[in-house]
Amino acid sequence: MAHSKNRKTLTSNPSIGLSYSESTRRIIAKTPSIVDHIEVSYELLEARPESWEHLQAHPLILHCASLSLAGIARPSEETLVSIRHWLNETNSPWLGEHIGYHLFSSLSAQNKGAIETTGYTLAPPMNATTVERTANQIEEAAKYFGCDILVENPPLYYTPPDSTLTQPEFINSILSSSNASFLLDLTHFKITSINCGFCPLHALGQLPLELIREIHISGIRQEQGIAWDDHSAVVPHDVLDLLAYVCNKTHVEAITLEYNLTSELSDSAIIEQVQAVRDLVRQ
Amino acid sequence: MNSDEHSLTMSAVAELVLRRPEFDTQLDTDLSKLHLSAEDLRRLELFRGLICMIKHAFMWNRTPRIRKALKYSGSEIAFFSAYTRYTSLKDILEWDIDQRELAVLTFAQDASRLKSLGLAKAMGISGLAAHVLKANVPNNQSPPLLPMPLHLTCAYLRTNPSITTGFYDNDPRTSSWCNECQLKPGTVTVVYGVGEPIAIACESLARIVITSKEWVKASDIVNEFATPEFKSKVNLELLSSLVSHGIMHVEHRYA
Repeated sequence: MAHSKNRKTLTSNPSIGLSYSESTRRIIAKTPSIVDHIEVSYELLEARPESWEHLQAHPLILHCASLSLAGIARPSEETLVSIRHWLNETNSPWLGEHIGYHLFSSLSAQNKGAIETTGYTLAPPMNATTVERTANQIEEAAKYFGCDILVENPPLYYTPPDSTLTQPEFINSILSSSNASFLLDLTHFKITSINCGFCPLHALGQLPLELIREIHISGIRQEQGIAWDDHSAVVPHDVLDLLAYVCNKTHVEAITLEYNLTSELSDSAIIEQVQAVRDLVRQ
Repeated sequence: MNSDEHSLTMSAVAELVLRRPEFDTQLDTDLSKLHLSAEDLRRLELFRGLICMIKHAFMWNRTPRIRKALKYSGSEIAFFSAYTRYTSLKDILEWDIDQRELAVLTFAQDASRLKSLGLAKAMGISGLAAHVLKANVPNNQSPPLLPMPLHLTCAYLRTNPSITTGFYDNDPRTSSWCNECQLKPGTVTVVYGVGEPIAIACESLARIVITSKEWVKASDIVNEFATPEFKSKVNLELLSSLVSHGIMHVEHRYA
């Protein structure tokens, strides 16, 4: 990739990691070698900088939900400077970000035109306009941060208005129009397949698997007839099956289990999941 | 669709997610521009509930049993989605954790509202309350007889009186919003709501049961429901006297 500059590479192959949470902190304090890397979000480092003392001794991957890559409104210079600061501190091999947006121009009569945030990533309209804008903004981000940008597929719970492309077509178009690599969230993908009614295995074949560098996996909950992303539940077996399929098809540098929502999930259950993934990718 | 319309669509979806009151007045117009199907609109509203739920993840620690009740009833996202019909996500995102906790518990407290949403039975929540007994002391006077300011704190009850419920949240003396209150020497946990006399165990001084949402005079509470355990630990006459003479009053903390 064109943008790599002296970034740390992950030593294990693939590197198996956990997203940072209270349980991750406990687990690595007790058994540091249980994971090869820890994924930490920029937003958490900003909100709780004290977390840094638990993290700095470990290989880290910086994840982000602040760039609003698919949006029209842009993040502030202050945000960009801060992300760059944490990229340097963490020495992350890349920056992972969602194909989504959270910044937007307010329609509120009282605040019309002001840049506001939804506080959470939204799936954008999947069409040519969004593809072009997102690809351009990925390139700008890569240039600004001097690192590779990995873009992550969002889960679809509803069809974004103004969409003319399927999600695989949309992702393919963005990746072919930019230098970004792919952060495939298999749980998001499975959720989307359930909610949109397609075969995940067939749709995986339509994705540029060769561009995958990192995979995310987490839990799924079913409620109100919809599949939902759940970072407090174990990875379903069928998502592990998809993981095995992808790992057979292509080389993946990192796999991150995202259990970063406070939950009843015990530390031992998380450790078992890490081991199960490790066993699976060794096969 | 031109770029202006594209931009408007993205902003309108974001406004739907935030659901601020002023946007609701435009909702019909803007929804027609979005061409959202009824099913997609339902899903988007539930998605708002998911965001709200994630922003309330702290409830696992601060009100763990309520959160479990929501989760195990399979109506957690629906609950938070319903909550955001009454409270804009925009406001919720701007609140700190304490404000979020108080607001969502107040919502959960309204059994009739939950029932209308078809949620109350599934969750087993019929009422939550947090009240503070405060001394009516003019600012320029030192407190008169105030041996035991009472802190009536958040509690939980079920509609089934045979169920023994414990204290559902953290020790009120250690929860952060209680610590902000100066009146904390004596802590009493109170359950009220839905017309059923249900007592809960209270680890501190006493237990009190109130049978309706309306606060009754302290003397009525004492005479009708106070247990021997309570009577042995609390100077009820003094409490009744303080309230009935206007030296202390009950303040609805969430009001």
